[in-house]
Parts: sequence; structure tokens; C-alpha cells
Amino acid sequence: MGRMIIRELLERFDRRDWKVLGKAISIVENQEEGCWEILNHAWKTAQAECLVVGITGAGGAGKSTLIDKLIRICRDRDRTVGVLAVDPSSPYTGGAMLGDRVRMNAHSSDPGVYIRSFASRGSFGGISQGAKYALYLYKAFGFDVIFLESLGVGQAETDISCFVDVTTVILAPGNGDAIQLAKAGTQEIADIFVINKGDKPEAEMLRLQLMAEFAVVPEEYRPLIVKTTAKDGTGVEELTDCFSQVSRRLLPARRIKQQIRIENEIFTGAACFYEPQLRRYAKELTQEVLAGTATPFEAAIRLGSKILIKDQGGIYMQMREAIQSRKSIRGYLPEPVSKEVLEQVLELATRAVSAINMQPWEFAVVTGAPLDAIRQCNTEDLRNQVSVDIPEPEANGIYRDRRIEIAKQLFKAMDIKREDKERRNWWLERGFRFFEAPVLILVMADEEIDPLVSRLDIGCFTQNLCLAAMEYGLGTCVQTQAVMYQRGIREVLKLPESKRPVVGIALGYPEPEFPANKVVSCREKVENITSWTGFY
Amino acid sequence: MAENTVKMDRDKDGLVREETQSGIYVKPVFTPEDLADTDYTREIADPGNYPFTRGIYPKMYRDRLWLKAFLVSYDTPESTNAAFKSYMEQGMNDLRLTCDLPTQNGFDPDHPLAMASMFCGGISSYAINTYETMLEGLPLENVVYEGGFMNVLDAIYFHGLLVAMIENRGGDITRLLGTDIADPIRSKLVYGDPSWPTEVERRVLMDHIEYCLEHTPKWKPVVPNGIDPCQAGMNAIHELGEVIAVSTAIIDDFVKRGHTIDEFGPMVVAMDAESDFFESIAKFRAARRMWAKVAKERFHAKKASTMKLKIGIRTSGLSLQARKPLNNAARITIQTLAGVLGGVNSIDACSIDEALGLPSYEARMFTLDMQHILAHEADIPLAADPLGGSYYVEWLTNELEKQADTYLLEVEKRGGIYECLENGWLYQLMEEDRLRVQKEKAEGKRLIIGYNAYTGEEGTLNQAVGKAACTVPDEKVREERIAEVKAFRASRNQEAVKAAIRKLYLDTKNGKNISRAVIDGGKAGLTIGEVCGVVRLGYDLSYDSVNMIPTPDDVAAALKDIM
Amino acid sequence: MAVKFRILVAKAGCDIHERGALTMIHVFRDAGMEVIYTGRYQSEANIARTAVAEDVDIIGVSDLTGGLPVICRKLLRELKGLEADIPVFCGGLMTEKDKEEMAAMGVAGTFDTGSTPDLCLVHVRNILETKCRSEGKAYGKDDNPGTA
Repeated sequence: MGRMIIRELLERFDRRDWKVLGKAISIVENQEEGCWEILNHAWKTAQAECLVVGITGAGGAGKSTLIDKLIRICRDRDRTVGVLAVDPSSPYTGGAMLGDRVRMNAHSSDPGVYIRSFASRGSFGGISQGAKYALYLYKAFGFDVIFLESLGVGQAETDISCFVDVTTVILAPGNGDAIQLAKAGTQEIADIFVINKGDKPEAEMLRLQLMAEFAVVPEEYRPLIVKTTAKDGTGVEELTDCFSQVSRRLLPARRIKQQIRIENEIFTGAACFYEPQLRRYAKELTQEVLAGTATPFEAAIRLGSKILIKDQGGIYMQMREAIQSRKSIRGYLPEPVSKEVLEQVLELATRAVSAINMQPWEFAVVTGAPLDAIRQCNTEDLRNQVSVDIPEPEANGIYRDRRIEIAKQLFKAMDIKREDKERRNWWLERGFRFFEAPVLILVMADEEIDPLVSRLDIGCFTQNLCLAAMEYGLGTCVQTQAVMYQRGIREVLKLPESKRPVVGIALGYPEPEFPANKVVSCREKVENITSWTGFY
Repeated sequence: MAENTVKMDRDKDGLVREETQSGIYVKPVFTPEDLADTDYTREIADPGNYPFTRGIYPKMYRDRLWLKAFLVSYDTPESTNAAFKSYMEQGMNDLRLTCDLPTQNGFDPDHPLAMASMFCGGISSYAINTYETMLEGLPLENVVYEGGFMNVLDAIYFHGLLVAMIENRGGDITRLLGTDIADPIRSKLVYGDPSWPTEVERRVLMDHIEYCLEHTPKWKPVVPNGIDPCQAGMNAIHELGEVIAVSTAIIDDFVKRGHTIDEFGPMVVAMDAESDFFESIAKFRAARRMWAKVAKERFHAKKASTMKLKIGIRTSGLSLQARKPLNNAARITIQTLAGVLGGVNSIDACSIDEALGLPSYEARMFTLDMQHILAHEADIPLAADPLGGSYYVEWLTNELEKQADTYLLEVEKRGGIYECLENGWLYQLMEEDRLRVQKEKAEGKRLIIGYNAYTGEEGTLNQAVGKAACTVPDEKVREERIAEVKAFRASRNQEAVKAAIRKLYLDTKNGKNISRAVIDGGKAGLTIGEVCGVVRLGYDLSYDSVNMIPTPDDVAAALKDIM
Repeated sequence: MAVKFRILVAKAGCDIHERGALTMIHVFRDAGMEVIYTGRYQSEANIARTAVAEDVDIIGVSDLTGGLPVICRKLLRELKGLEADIPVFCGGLMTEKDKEEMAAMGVAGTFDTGSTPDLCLVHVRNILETKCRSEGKAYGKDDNPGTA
């Protein structure tokens, strides 16, 4: 049959076709394609008046049998019922036996009842991620009453109580630990305690014990205590009436619960989203810890900064990471860069500091055929040994050493041997061709402004631009080399005489395997170049 | 070759286990020392003497061979009738009248669940008309009837029909001979029978027992059943314990009503002859000894006959394999032999093709012939309890009794067998036993020939067995059956039906013994579904045990003013 | 996320023997699947509805009294009526003739009492994995190869 188109599915969903409800739940449970569309739709079309009752308790207490009877009473009162039954998945095999349905299956032929079984799939606290999502669908589908059955009595983080309107805890007497169960944690969450197998003599004692437990609690906050015998249905009508009673009492709490739910949803949803990346980076960082460049705890903090999530074209990056990993890119993919992205990059970059906010910078951004034309001009000039308009700065001592060092690194990476004149020329030429980048940003200053001032400010801007570009996955290379020959840029870009080109920035999507791109330049240790005064 | 075949080296294939089927460790050899503490006269005794370890009659089969019976059911009452007659000529003297699954559940053929299971497990016998056809020309007295049903009410109905028919023919109902299972524990435990709360079953069972004792004294109204729990997983020790526990519980209830165990007479139980040869033999011997002690010490039986435990067995259906069905011949022979050497009173041996389908005529004949061979060619029944005195067998009998007693103490501690049933402990035990066996099979610690060991290709002989097995009748015959029941209902005397319904309902409501009402209902033509449904209404339950159909209009009309 | 297989194990009619069904439930669960059990006393209509409501990938019917052809025929009809394309396999008491009949009506697998649980498991996985492939879904990463 193939996969149903989501749109068609939602149409049938709106028409209350129960046959697609199961499919829709599977999609959101497995987070398959169309999942968010369905959930968004369910959220927006949710019916207001749905009573959600959570039924929890240890295994063997009789939850499923009780729900079977509760369904009957609801149906007698002409209410439609939805049931979510959650059973634990085996932590070893990942499989699960979902057997709650057995005791309720008399209702499977009733069109007013919908039952679906869920495996916990690793979640704790009684409600699986899939069941949580499914609950939104149930509410949108419009059942009058929804029962959520789960194992366990709730733990702090994934408490079932914030997902339901009424939390019911089932206890069975004769366990000995029934009272312990009632204390540990459930005290805060249970709205109703049900003592099942109420025909047993110990049931009454348990009831009295429970009442004593809560005697100190003011009456309006005290949980209700009901005795039932699920097997033959005794006490179940009374219990059903309790649900409405409690839910009315808890009306003010509903809004708070809803807020908690939404917050939880966002939090856990984000956690789900990030999880694959978290795993991947954790693996990578493990290697760093093993290599001794970080402790596990440092790595954990850095992990957070590594997270990237794609959001319709934008990539959000942590600042530390960006600054740390900015590098000059000298090999690009031919992929063009869109004008919209470049505009955003420039907008960000112009937040750079400038003396008394003079913002001396102006830009010419060029790509495509005109850029190739400039490249052509530069190549001609180089081959014709035209002398440069802006000479290369001199360097001595440690600065010369650093230049030689980086050159060595690059040449090694590019496999350019010192004697290989031809290849060295090729590399030089490549620089004049802006490393074949798809985009060149030419930064100019007006002749009006003192060059010393504008140069400093444009330096700030340039660094900012390199960082901003990383936001969008772009690489950059800041080149004075780009403005050494001015014939090409002036002619092709028709620059006015009053604008002086200060620096060029090659820009594009980095080619990941380009050897020179993998070179990491070193930095002098701060302690060698800093003097600290006034510190103790 | 099957995927998980255990690789066996034919030149040095040794044993893979050192324990009996239920896990009792067996030494390589047993000597007189193992019986040093056993007093012959007190513990073992001659056959026919308390505690009847060696058998309940002094000469056992010398006087009377065991009863031979098997399930006979064909799609129509007529063909069943013909089959009965034919088998009886071949030596079968015990008629098994098990009805099909829907009828066992108290469903008429037109119940929504009946279609899928009609004719499975027995005859679709929903009312007196079918029985009359089925038993036409057969003597109603002096032939042993055995009824296998789900629950007590079915048993009462069945018994009631036989009584009705005898009365209709003007015969003497005190000569009605037979048993019905009516075990309230087994139906809940194994089948999770949804029909009746256990208390109702217990009460109705007592009614049935009282009625039978008074009117049909040769009819045993209850036979505690270990067969189904065993087939569902219970090992020999637990089966043995369970059977004793249920028997004890029934007599307890009986005595509480103001009777004595001597009024009840001897107990009859149904047990399983499983694959483990010696364990089965020991199990039957231990059962007799254990019951004798219970009858004497707990219930103070005065008459020796009351302390005798009659055992009817079925060979293990579970042990039969679909692959290489010829091998089943060996299995059923060994298991039957275990029953004979264990001194049982009736044997229902399986047919070799039962794992494939419904038994064919020839397969059935083999089952009977095999028993004739045991009796007449192999001279087995000449001496009573021939294995008595064997060091191994006597030791194993003692051991089984010991372990079963431990288990029974546990049951008592937990509140008795009914309590253990209700709180699920019994079921848990059965499941554990079952899973243990499964694990052993998967690990190759329990070899099943042809299944996980010594598998091989089937040849023409084996395939022929498979081909001869009968299939269950298809939809067409079932549809006919449904039409028939509807027609039957319409053809009855409506006034008589109405009166019968009312009487049955009122007797139930007023807590009277309903046996008479059931018999008269049967005569008026009430179907099994109607009888069960009306009694359920009398107990304030829904008409249909699975809540799939509402109370039929004519029943509701008949009870309108009194319900 | 690797898809989890959901499988419905059902018993129709009045057959009370649960042993085979319970065994297979454990086998499937230990193989990493999510198994839903209907319990006994189900009508074929019930089973079909349950299968659709639970959106299972495959249905397994167990019957030890010889009623499988009748049950499967009805069940397939019911599924068709609900426009559900869920494969059905069955296990229990069956003759060779029954197997042929059921294969002809479209039952995806037949396992008599002589089949081992693993044989059934392997066959079921094949059906499910083929179905997954044809729908372009990822599967199997979480599945445990199972016992033995």
C-alpha cells in the first residue's frame, strides 16, 4: 500500500476516522517524516474538554482489569474513551510484551473505544516519549475520557502526573510494601488512591493506614481513597465519580500543569533533537581526552559549544568555538554564495567597533564573471611581472620567523618543495586569484579619512566578518594580496578615485579535504607577550 | 534439518540428562539401601490393601482390564453414532462424549465465537436432539460415559441430558454409569475460563454431587483433572500435588455441607502419562498412596473402598510430534504401558496422527490394537503391580510423594488451592515449569526425537500418516449447523421452553439444587447456551460470558416479570 | 531511529491452548519486537480492528484445534474490509492440505507444531524486513538476533 500522504492522513483524522489514528500515532512515536506536521496540527486542533486520567501502580495491582471496568461505566454513560497502555521494554533486547490489552479486549469491537499499547522504549517514570506525543493526538481526536495506564509510581523527572488531569495510584493489599509505595514519591502526585482487591481483609487495614498518612494534610489537598474489587466491579462506579470530583477540584492547578507540560515538551524535544549530535561530539571529544588535551569535564563544557542546529539556512555557533576555530581558507567549493546570506554576514560584521563610530568601511562584493575578469587581470599582471601597487611589508627577527614558519606549514601541506619554482609560482598566482573563491569582498575606505584610523577600524571589521561568515558555514581568507594589483579591481568594479581599496576578503564554502585548509597556525603564548601590572 | 538440531554423534551418543522430566536427580543404580526406611506393609502393601500403592484391587487386571476410551467425534451426530458402534465392536467400551470447543464454553453454534472453533475438539452437541441422534441404538446404561467439559455447568447439562434421555426411554437412571470432569480449578487455571466466578462453580459442583449421589449413584460427578494443567506446563510433582489438593478441597466443601467422605465414595482423578516412563508410573502409585492417607487421616474414612483412588489417564498429547508421526507409535505405546504398570483404571491413549489433524480411523484402530497387544500378546496384566519392589520405582514413588507433600504444604500456607488459584500463584508455577522445559529443549538438554535431535527426511510411510489425518469440517458444514440450531429452537414447544427457563432461573435465584431443573430443561429442548445463560442471569451475571451477545429476546420475554 | 516491529499475536474462537502463543510472544520479544497479545476468545472482526488500531506490522494467529483455514479466511476478509494491508501468518495444528489452502488464500506463513520457534522468527523477520525495504524505512539496528 505504501506510505499514506500526510495531508490525506490529516484529513481523515479530522473526520475522526479511527483507522488512521493508529498510523498517525506510529508516525509520531517513531518520529518519522511528517511527525511534526501531525503534532502541530494536533496541537492546534485540540479539543478543550478531555478528561485525562492517569492510572499507575505496581504490577499485579490490577490496573488493566480496573480500566476494563472503568471503560464499561464510561460507555454506559455514553462517553467515548481513549486508552494508552504503557509497558516496559526490555533493556537488553529492546523488545516488549504489551499485554495490558488482554484484559480490556472485550472493548475492541466498540467503536466508541480506542486502545493502543506502547512500549516504554527506554523512558522511565511510566510514560514513553511516544505515548506523550500520542496523547496530543488523542486530545485532538476528541475522546471524552482518556486513560493512561503505566507501570511504576512516578519519579521526579518524568512524572506522569503533569501529563494527566487526575493521577490515580492503585495499591493492592497484602504486599506489605503497599504503604511504602504510597509514601515514596507518590504522596505528592497521587490525587486518588485506589485499594484494589478490596474484598481482602487487609484492604481495610491499608485504607486506614493511608488515611492516617494524610490526616495532617488539609482536606482540600487530601487525596481521595477508594476501595474497589476490579474483578467483579465493586467500587468502580464510585471511582468514576471521583474522577470528575477531583478534576473539578484541581481546575486551578490545570493551568500550572499545562505550563509545566509545555516547558517539559520544549526541553525534552530539544534534548531529542540534539541527541545525535551530542553523541557524535562526545565520541570525538573522547579522543581528545585520551590524547591528553582535555579533561572529561572540560570536554563536557566544550561539548555544549559545539552544537550546531540547522534552522532554515542558519547555523548557530558558540562564540568560543568560532573564535577558536576561525582559520584562513585557501581552497573552496565552486558552490556560489547567495546574496541574502552575504547581506546577513555583512550586517553582522558591521557591528564591529570603529573610532567614535565613524564606520569608515565600504564594500564592493563581486562574484561570477566579473570576479573571473579581475582574476584574469591579476594573472596577466603577475605573469608580466608588473610591479605591485601596494608593496609587501618587510619583516625581521621573530616576525620573519613566524612568516617563514606559516609558509613552511602551508608548503608542506600543499606538497610544494622549496626547489620547485614552478609550483611555488603556481601557489603565488593562486593567491592573486583569491584562491579561486566564488566571492570577493573588497573593503574600501574614503580618502577623506586618515588612513591610520580607517585601517584600524577596518581590521576590526575584517575579523568580525570572518567570524560572522562561520555562522553560515562559510570560510574566508583575508588578503592584502587581493589589493596589491589595483588595475583589475578598479577597471571591473569601476571604483571611484575617492575610494581606496584597503583589503580583500576571499569568501566561499570551504573544500573540506583541501590540504592547506587543514593547517592550523600557532599562536605565541600570552604569557610571553604580556606584562601584568596591579595583579596579585 | 531443523534449525536448532542438536548435533549428535551417532557413535557416541550419550544421555544428555541425569534427571527425570520434573527435575528429580536419578542415581545410576538403586539398591536395597534406598528402601531401607520403607516399611512394606505400612507404606507399600499388597494390591487392594491400604494405602493402595500397588493398586486398588487385589488381582488388578487379572479380574478386569483397564477401560479403553478415546475421543470420537465427527461432523454430524449420525456419523458419530456410526463410529461409536463400529469402535465398540472393536473393543472400545468407554464412550468419550467430549463436545466441541464452543459447546464446552457454553456457546451455541450461532454464537459469534463458535464459527471459528466448531467441530474442534469434539462434537457440536448443543441440545438433546443431537445427543439422541448420537447415541441412537447404543445402550444408555452399562456403558461408561465420560464427559469432558470446561466448567461445572456444562457437566451438569451433559449429565442432565443423559438422565433426560433415560427417563424418556423409561429406563432406570440409577444405572447410569460414567464420569464428568467438572473440576472448578482446572478450567480456571488452564483455560482462564471467563464464564463463572469460582465461588459459583464450587457451589454448583456441590449441588451436582449431591444430586448424583442421590439419584445416579454410579455416576461420578467430579474428576479432578491433572491432565490439562500438565499439558499446559505443570511437571509431575505439581500435577500430583494439584490433583490431591483439588480432591481434598472438594471433599472439604462436601463435608462442610454435612456429609461424610464415605457418602462420596471413592475419588476418581484424571492424570497424564507423560514421556518419562518411570516417573509416570511412580506418580500414579504415589497418587494412590497420598489420597488414601488423606482420606483416612484427614477425613476419617471408615470404608476401605472410600480410600481407593481411581485413576483415569490420557497419554500426553504434548509429546506427540508432527514430524515423523510414525515415531508417535512408540510414544503412545510407552505411555500406555506406563499407565498399565502404574495400575490405572482407564486409559485414553492418543492416536499417532493427533499432532497433524483429527485422527484417522486406522490410527484409532492402532491405538486400540496396541492395547490389545499389551494385554494379550505381551501378558503384561498377568501379575498385579509387576514393578512393585523395584528399588528405583519404589524410591521414585517415595520421592515424588515427598516433593508433592512439600508443595502441598506450601499451598496450605498460602491459603489453600482456591486462594492460590485466585492470586495467580498456581498459574505462575505452571508457567515457570513450562518455561523451564522450553529452555531445556532450546539448549538441547531435553531431546525430542525428530524435532531437535535425530531429525531426518520423512519418507512415504510418514507422509501417508499425515495425509490420512482428517481435517476439521469447513465453513459449509458449520453454516448448516448454525441453521440447524436456529430451526431447532423454532421447532420446540414454546410453552414448555418458557416454563423450563423460568424454573431454572428461579431455582438458581433461590439457591436450590438446579440438577432437576436442568434435566427438565434438557427435555424441553433448552440448548447449552440457554441453560448456561439463564443460570448466569440467576447469579446476576451477564447472559453471555464474553459479552458478545445480549440476552436473547425469547429468554428475556420468558423472564420479564420475575427478573 | 531504527523502526521497532510491532506484532499482534491473536487467538480466535474458543481454542483455549495458549502455550504456543505464549512461547512465540517471548521469542518475538527477545528478538527485540513489541508484541501485543489479544488474549483468547477473540472474533476475527475483533482481531482485525485491534490490528488496525495498534497499527501493527504483522498478525500471527495461533490455533491448536484445526480451525486455522476457517479463521484465516475470515480474518483476511475482515482486514480487507478495513482496507488494512497487514500480512497474516499462523501457527498450530494443520494438515498439509490446510497449508496449501492457506497459502492459496494469501496467508504469509504457516507453521505446524513441528516447526521450531526460531524457524518462525526468521520467516517473520524476512517478511517484515522486506516490507520495510519497500517502504524505504530503516530497521534492524536495535534488533537482537534472538535465542540460539
